[in-house]
Amino acid sequence: MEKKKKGIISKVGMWYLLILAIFAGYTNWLPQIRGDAPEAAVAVDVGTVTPEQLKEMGQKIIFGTDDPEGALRKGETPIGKGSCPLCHRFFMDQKADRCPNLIALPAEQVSSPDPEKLLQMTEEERSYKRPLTERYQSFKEKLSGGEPNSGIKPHATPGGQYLVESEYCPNCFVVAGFAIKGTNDMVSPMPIINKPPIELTDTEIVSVVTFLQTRSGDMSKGTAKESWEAYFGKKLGEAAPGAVAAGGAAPSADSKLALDTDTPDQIVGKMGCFACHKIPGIAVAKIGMVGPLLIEGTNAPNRIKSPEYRKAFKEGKVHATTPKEYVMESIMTPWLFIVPGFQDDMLKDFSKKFTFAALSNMADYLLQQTADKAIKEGLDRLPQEKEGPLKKTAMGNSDKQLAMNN
Amino acid sequence: MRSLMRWLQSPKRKRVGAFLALSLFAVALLLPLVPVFAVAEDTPAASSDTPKIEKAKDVFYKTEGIVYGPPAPKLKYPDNYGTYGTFQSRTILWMANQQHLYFGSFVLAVPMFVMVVELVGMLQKDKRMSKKYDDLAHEFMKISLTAYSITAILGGLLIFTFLALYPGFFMYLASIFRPVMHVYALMFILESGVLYVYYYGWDKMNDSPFLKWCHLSLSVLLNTVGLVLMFFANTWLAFMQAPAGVDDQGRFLGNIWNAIHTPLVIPIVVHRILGNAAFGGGVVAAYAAYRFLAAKSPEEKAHYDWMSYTAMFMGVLNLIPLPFAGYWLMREVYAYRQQMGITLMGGLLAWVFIMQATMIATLFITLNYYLWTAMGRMPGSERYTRFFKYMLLVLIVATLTWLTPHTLVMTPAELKAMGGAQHPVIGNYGVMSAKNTAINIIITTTVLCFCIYQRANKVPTVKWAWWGNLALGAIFVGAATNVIFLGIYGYFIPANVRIGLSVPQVCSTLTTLFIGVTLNTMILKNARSLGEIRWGQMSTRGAYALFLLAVAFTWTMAVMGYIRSSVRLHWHINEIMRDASPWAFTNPIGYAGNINSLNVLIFWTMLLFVFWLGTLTDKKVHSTVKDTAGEGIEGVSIPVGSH
Amino acid sequence: MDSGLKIAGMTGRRFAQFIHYNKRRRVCIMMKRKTLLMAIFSALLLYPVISWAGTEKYINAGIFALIVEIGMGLSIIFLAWFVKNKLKIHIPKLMQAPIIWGFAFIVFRVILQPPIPFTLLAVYMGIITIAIFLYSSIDEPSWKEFSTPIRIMLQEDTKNAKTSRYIVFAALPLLIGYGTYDKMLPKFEEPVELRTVHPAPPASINLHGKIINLQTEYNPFRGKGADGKEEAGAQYMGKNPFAADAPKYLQNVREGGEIFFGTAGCVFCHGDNLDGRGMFAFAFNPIPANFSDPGTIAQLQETFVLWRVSKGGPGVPRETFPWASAMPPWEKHITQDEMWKVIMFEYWHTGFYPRTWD
Repeated sequence: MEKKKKGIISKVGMWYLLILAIFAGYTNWLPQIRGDAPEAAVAVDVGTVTPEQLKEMGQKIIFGTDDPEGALRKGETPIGKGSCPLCHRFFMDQKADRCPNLIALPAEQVSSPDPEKLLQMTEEERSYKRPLTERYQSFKEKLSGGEPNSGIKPHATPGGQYLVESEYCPNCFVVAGFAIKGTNDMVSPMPIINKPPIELTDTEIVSVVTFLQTRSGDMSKGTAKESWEAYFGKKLGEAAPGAVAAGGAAPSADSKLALDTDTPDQIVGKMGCFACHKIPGIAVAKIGMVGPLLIEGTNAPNRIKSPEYRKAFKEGKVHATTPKEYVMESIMTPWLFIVPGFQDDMLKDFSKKFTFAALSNMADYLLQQTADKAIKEGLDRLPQEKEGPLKKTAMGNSDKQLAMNN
Repeated sequence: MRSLMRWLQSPKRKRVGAFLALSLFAVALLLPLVPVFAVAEDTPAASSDTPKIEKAKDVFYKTEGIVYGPPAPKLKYPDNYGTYGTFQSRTILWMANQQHLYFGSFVLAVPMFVMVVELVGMLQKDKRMSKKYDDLAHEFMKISLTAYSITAILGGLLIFTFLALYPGFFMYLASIFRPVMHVYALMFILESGVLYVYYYGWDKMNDSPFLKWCHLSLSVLLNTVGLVLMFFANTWLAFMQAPAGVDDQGRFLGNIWNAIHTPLVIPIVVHRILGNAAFGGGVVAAYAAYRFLAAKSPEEKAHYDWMSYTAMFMGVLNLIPLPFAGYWLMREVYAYRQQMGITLMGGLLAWVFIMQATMIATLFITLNYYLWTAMGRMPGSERYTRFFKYMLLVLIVATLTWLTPHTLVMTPAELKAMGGAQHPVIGNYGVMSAKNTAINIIITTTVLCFCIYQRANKVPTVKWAWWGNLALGAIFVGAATNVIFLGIYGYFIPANVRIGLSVPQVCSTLTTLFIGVTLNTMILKNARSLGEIRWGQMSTRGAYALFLLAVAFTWTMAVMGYIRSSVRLHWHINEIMRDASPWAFTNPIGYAGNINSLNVLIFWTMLLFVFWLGTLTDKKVHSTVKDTAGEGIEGVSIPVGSH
Repeated sequence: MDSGLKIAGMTGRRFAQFIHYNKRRRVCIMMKRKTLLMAIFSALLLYPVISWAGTEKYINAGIFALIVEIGMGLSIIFLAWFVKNKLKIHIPKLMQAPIIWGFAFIVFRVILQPPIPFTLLAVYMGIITIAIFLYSSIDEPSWKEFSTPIRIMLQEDTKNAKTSRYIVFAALPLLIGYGTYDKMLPKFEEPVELRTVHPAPPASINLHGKIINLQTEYNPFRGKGADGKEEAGAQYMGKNPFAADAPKYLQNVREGGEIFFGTAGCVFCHGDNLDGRGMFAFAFNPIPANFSDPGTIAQLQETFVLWRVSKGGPGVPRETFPWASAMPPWEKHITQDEMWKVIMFEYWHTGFYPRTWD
């Protein structure tokens, strides 16, 4: 009998070991994911990065990868430390419907009535519409004493400020139907992004907003930094408003300004002209497809004579009489005269960013650029430019050599 | 004194007396809480003495409070952490915690059973049955007593581990919960005292009915103290997961109640009480199953068969509401931080949840299997045997759905063959609608199985039996139809509406549980018996199923604890105190599975030791019983267990 | 078998008569027991027929096919079961287990299409294995029936038992050996490919000496609707492009189709259903794009398609593996107009609409 009992102990023991081995084995067979603790945020000086870098940084924060679509196709949901794709939809074939989608839906996917077609816009476009809605106004009234969690009063102007506000104060405006249940559509399920657990820095939030604004590829829409500064009324990167005096906010400290001593390519780099324009002689400015080719030596004299410009001149809208005045006017007040075939897309705050000397230098440089130089570098006008493509002259090897040396 | 005793002997008065005694104990119970309130009242006064009063906002309640403590320290490695060689400090702490928790749960769960069993025994009219239940309760208690001292030892070990490996973190936690920790220690002493009086006074207090009622009151007291103990321990981990009562720098705001009453504490406590009870039932059932297998005489076999059934039944009683308590906890987690909920269900820990789903499926299927095999010892159960395979079919289909992952693991070639990351057919089973339906069907089937078990050896005699059966059938069919219909309907509506569907689904299941079982019991009132349950004839497979059930309980507890703890990610105290040690990452699931298995193995090995100790004393008891008592459970035909 | 079919075809009245006149009681009882199942079975047979005949508009072909397939599958199972019962064939439990296992394997591996990944199959078959064990041991008689042969094989000393024992104990190590061999055998599995299928397009392309801005260009053969936007062509879907009075849009579609099937020969790779399964398709890895999948052209702008058609495989960026695409640069073979027409045809044929910019 005693022997039999011992047999049972070993049998039961074997049974236990078998069960435990199966359980442990199964867990080892499942996909192994290790969740690393987030690294401390990297301090980035926003003044020194280009909008593209900012956008890439935003992409990395949102998706944790530079190729989110690739990850998506592999069946993974790319999620970075911002955790945004857990709730927001960024791609058509991504599944996330907890929070408002951040892409433009095709009309047939929009089931609910959507009079303003908000769902069919990109988030960037939406950001210009939402703050104008009555719903936003009602939030503004209700939260006029400040939103309890963040202490922010909703006061975003359309555009980037709206996006910035949504990150710092998700409750300041909740898209209808996406609030936490039972809160009368008032409280957002989204965490405050600059606080734990997501805890992005200001710069990181600006980069995320830049990503949202420039998803279409139009870098000129990336106004996140400006919007941020306008929204909070302080410079990005300053710890507290009180610290301004000590830091000495002299223009020299801000590399976003075009200064007297800057060379034309420095100015082009700082102002981001290359995002829209092709400019002969500037290495980075070879890709812009938004604005006209800047060969003002050829263009400017013709443009002031053009009937469109004469008409505007007579109406008193524009005032340039010389090519240089025309170029300076185009930089300072670009909305006054739009070159035929283009939209009013150019940034409008250059008047605050150029010193007089810098503007003069830049205009001189642009006026030296002519059709010949552009042809040598293989640049051509955009199809919509009225003047038509540049006439190509036969180029000898020596000319090519010259162009390369340039 | 003696006259008082005599006065109390009358049956009416003895209850009054017992009630009085109970109230006295209850008042005594509140005594240790005095320091808490004293501190709470002290706080503003103490800080108002100092001229600088800084106010800050509660991180959860958003109320203003006076800053009372220092901010949470920003920990640095290795300054604020200790190590033992190259071992992962966290794993050591994890194991120490888990072992303490296992024994603690067991020690807390067993008195709950004992209380119920003792009460049932006292309410029995049949003397023999009464004695039988009383002995059972006594035997449970005996097992728990050794485990109690092991719990205390492990608790000490845990505190030392904390102090040695995570001193910075532990000090901060202690600074906030200082008054509560003192109360905790006091309660522990009280628990020990009550426990020893309760256990060693068992036979003495069996003599008079009044003393017996006092004994039961002691049991109530024991459980109350135990629950308060557990509540305090739970408040600390609930605070770690979702802090309140401090400002966003971790400064204590003086109100200890806010720090105790954190957003998640109530659901966690409820979930844990149910979980503990289920776990305790499983452990005792496994113990009884082992004794059943090892038993030498038919009487012994019958006794342990009955004991394993009773313990299993009590465990299961708590298991069935457990998923719903879990659902509630998840809802609260989502309400607290949606991100935390998503990390759990769809993010980093999603695969751990698949493992947890596997465990739940294992538990329910094993349970059904045990009931099926257990019906083999009931005459008349043949009438139902042929339905078992259909129930199995339903369970398996539901399990297949339940365990279909949302994200499939595959090679590029398979991805290509499938034509995309989502399978057009299987993909439908990976979503929440299908999962909710599956688990509700599994639970409903289990309830049905239990109803069949109830009536296996009985024929209803009430006049309205036919109508009753019809109604019972309607309840089950209706619940299943409703659950499945809502599940399918969920595919056609947007996600935010879909979430709301789980409530009516759960309601259908709960209807079968409460109304169905009640109705079934009413139908079976005064039912004609087709023969008594042949206790002792449980099949060996049934015993092994009980072992599996117990291990699955233990393992589920481990994996759930792992999930709950790791959802804090790299925080010691969520959003207040960062884990700066090199072990702030979240382990992959395989590692967690290995540690869990190891923990379960250690626990069961230690339990084996406890059981072995039990058999040592048992031998003595047995011999005395044989010598002195002519009528024990021996020589008596085994009565029917009622359920 | 024969009587089973006969019974299956009977109406309710004939069925009642059958029971009434049949004097053999045993059959009678069996019939009663089966009445309910028979009714379900007839309903299953009738349902697809009714749905097909009556409500063609409400049930699409896919669901109809599914119902028919399920119905046929269930009828086969039912018939097999019925025949088994009629002929009183008793399958031993020990044999039932592999039969159920094999049946489940066929369902999950063969019938369920497209094939599920191995990991999921393993989970499913694991559950099925456990279920079979539970089924075999669900009550005492069943467990006895299941385990007795195994016990005899292991313990008894009759000749049969010995033989089977030797076979089992010889086969087990062989099986394990094969498993080990299979595991150790070097396999040439395709490495994980991180190919981007739809890369970001360039801002503009140079096509036949003309710069085409992919963001602003539109298909010149689509008319403009009342709202001034490009016409999606919804009203032309499913219409006959060969009709004599076909509108201009459909004529263009027809010409696109002629290019697709004729002059350019897209059909050889992309298939006559545009599903990427043309006659040459499987010579390529990856196989050509499946336009009928909602993940391809339905998600892309027409200009994107134009870019891919005109520049072909060599024109894609590095992340899309230009070396892995067999698509020729069609700009060297057909005109831009022809490309636009083919693109229009592709959208028309698959019923998708191109993605637009807003």
